[in-house]
Amino acid sequence: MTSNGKKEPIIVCDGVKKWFGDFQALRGVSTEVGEGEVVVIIGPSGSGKSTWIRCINRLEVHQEGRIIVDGIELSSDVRNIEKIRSEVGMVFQQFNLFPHLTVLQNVTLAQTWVRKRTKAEAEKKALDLLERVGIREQAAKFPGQLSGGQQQRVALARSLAMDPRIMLFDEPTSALDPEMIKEVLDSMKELARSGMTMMVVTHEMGFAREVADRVVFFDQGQIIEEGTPEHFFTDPQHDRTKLFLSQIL
Amino acid sequence: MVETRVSQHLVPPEPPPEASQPGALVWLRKNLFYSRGSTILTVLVGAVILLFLRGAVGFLLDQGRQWEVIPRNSANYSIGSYPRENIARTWVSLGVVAFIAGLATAAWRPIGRVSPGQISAAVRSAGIAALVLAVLAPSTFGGRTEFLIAGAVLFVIGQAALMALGDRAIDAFLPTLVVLGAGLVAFLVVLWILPISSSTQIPWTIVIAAAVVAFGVGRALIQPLGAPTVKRSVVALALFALPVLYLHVQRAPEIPWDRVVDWSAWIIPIVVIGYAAVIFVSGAEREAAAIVNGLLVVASIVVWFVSAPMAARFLLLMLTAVSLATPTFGSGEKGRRTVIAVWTGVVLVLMYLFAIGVGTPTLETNNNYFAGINLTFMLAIVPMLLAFPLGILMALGRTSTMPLFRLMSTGYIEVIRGVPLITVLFFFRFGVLNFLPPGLQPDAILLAIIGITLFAAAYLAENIRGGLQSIPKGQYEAAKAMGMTTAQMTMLITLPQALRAVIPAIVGQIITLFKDTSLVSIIGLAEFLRVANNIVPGQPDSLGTKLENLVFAAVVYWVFTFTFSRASLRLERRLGVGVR
Ligand SMILES: Nc1ncnc2c1ncn2[C@@H]1O[C@H](COP(=O)(O)OP(=O)(O)O)[C@@H](O)[C@H]1O
Ligand SMILES: [Mg+2]
Repeated sequence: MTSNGKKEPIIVCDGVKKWFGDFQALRGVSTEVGEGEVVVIIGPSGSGKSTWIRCINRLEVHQEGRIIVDGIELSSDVRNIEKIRSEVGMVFQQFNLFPHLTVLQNVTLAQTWVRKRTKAEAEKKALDLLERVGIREQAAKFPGQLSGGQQQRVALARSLAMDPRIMLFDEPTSALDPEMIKEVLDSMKELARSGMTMMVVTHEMGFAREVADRVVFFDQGQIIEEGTPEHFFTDPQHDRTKLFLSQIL
Repeated sequence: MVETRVSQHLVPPEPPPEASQPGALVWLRKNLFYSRGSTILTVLVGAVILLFLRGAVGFLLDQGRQWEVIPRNSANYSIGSYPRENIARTWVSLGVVAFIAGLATAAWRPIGRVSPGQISAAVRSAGIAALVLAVLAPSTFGGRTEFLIAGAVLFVIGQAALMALGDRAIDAFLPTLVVLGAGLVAFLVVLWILPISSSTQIPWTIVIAAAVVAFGVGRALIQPLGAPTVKRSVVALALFALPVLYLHVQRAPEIPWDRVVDWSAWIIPIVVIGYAAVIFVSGAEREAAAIVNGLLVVASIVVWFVSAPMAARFLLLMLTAVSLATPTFGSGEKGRRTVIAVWTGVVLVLMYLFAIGVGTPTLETNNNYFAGINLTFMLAIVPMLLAFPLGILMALGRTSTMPLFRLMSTGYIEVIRGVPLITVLFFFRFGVLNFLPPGLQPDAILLAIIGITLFAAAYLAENIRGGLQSIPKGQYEAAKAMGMTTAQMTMLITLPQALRAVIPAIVGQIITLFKDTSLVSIIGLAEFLRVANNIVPGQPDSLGTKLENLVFAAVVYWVFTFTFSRASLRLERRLGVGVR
């Protein structure tokens, strides 16, 4: 189910449970993600998709079960959570660029402070990445001066600048106008083809069909069904999955 | 039925309709006399303004006014009754301040420009004002003809310049720097031509020369060193100069070399340990660094309970602070060089300050505090500078997750905000001496500075806390997701944004603080307003008329606060670029 012929799993979730007060947002999530695998997570709003992937870089803290990222188990004993986080990039629905810094500074800041690169190294890397996502000429602008699609591509470059081994995406195109969705998805597809391990929460079924190695259907804090895109779009098994797919397709 | 319609051709964009310049009469009708009610209101308000102006002009130009009292008392206004035989000390200080200001101007070139159109319009307005004054002046006023002539001349010059400039009046610009330079030259010319105060001509000229030379030096340094280095050096120089100048003016101490030698038994080991510690910590693993820092924290507490010189206690405290900051800001090759430089600077500055701080004053300070506008500025600027780090610390404390830290900050803020500034000043002037070891007798200015600093810090903390709360959660998450530590996130992401968000509130606070410095007259300090209210008796150059002095004081306060609030508006607009 999980091996997909890939290498060692780089993310392991085993019975992950999480409560917000009395409300249980994750009800025991178990799965593995192999190195270089692209996993697309779909599911209704409020089902816990964000909570789950935010547990993987410990922006949320799970209460039961185990999460192992790159061989290190996430628990309150982890001394150096910053180290793990710097290996796991994340792109948010709301971009979350730093509005007081220019595009270039947004992409170099963590490189110099977390990765301890020199300014010259960091800037070279930043400009290369901005080139790769197609907005090098915007480097001197402030985020507020860019369109949503451009901002999200800056956010992508900002994460990639840390040379992460894993990338998490939480509905990266949901806040974008339709005509800008494509430019962000194109950058993500290119990234997927380059062999990055990716977990992507999205409603873009075209993206799932094209680049996902595996699709996970998530509902009520648990994995209802997972499989290849092929399986999902031609032969879904669970009633909930069928209902959900019929609603969005 | 819906009919299908398809557009046959695309409409090209057209220029917007010409905005017609309304004539004066049209403007009046549209804005002041657009209805019966508005006409009545306009006439009424106009009459009140006219009456007020007439009263004000009558007061200002009354024959009995002795405005010459103000230039005559310029020395009192500047330094109060500071002993005149030591006046050179204050000029030297002013020269140093001017030098630093010149360097700062070179490092942060004042951007912004003034258009000749604005200057011409200002000249024309001045002419109109003089004409109005002449018309409204009381019948006893002798200078009516001169005012009429001067007003007419200014008006004509301004108007002619505006017309000659034509369209260029708004596009052409003079850099602010040129205007600034012209202002300085005009000041010197007035000083040397008008017989206001002949004794200050030479010192003022030297002071201004110092500023100009410093500007040149600054510009010359920017090429080889780079602007950031120059800026950082200017800030360091300014911070270092403040206490030195203070001690130099206020106490003129003699450095007690025998005591300095006594300290060295403690100081030298601490300095050596300091270098070893920061070099080790900057290259060490997290755990090892934590052990070293833990030991330093313990040592810096213990040293307060054994008999050690004050200088050693503070130096160890500073070492601990530097070492604690090292894992975050000073790791890596470049970081190591930075922390070594920081530690060296800390040692030099702290030792120098301690050496002159404990020195025996050679000035009789008890009655000769320096005073006047200098004191007012000092009491506004120094506490504000000191209150900033303190206020930031308190704001972070109050929002932090550490209960003890939070409790301390909250308690401090609530206590200070619950009492009037005067109470704080009284406490520091009279109460605090009971808590100090006997023999330690800080002077009243230092105590006032501490009191105002602590007071301002509490309010600043609340402002900054408001700013911190306005930062969206996503900013914290993005910073954490990239592996930043809490300290890095605070220093690089949240705090800079919070400070920007609360600039208007902070500016308001600085203005209030500037005016509140007048309260120190209650604890016996002769700041600017007190000098104005009570031109120091016994001075040969005092005329002692009160009204003119108080009006003058009000104008001075207003000019400074108004200039400041204008400047901060520009700063806001400039920083607003990045705001979404
Ligand atoms: N910080 C929080 N506090 C309380 N409840 C939360 C919090 N974050 C999420 N939830 C709840 O957890 C559930 C799952 O949320 P989320 O993971 O955001 O869902 P999804 O991303 O699938 O839309 C929702 O019902 C939401 O209301
Ligand atoms: Mg979500």
